[in-house]
Amino acid sequence: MRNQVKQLREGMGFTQKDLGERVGVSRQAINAIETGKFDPSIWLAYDLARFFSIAIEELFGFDEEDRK
Amino acid sequence: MKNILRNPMTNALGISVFTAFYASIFFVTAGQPWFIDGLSYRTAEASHPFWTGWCRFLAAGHHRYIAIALIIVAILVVIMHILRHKPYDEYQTSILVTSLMVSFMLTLAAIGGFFLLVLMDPNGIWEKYTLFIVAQWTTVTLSDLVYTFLCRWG
Repeated sequence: MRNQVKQLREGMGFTQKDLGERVGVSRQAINAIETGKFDPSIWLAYDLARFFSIAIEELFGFDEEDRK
Repeated sequence: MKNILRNPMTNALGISVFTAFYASIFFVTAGQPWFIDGLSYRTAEASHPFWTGWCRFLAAGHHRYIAIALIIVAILVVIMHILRHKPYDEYQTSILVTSLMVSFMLTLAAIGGFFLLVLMDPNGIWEKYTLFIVAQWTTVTLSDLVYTFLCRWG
């Protein structure tokens, strides 16, 4: 799933580890989300969106072809 | 189920029970006359060099050293789990679930391979079974070590 996590994180000057600590997950989890290898749960997506102060649908691209 | 797997102690308990089960088989059989008598390939050197070598290794009771090595690895894994004070996150848990599923599929394939070997040549069932154990035990224990290491320091 494409998302804006990396751009927003780098814009705020955070490392993957910093962001992971803020939302309660590992650096590997943030890396996997940014590279599209892992789709977060709705609660983690909510925590990330709240951290960046934007809506979930702005943070994550809900493309129809990504529907499982 | 995922909530149970998120707890590192579940993994520690799992690898402990798994290791204890296989280690008990290796320690009980090592050097025992009834086990050595059950080995089949001691005199078949020319036609089955691999199985003959493996048979001699087992007859000498050396498989207890494999057990000791894998127990040390399992203890290392358990210590790392005990020292971990937070649960796995959802990404790490998903990796663990995938690993368990792959491990289950590989075990089914290995059981199939084991039966195929026995059907092709019914001799040496002890040799083949112990080789199956070594393959599965080593793969699972080392995979868990890598997983634990990466979750901790990756």
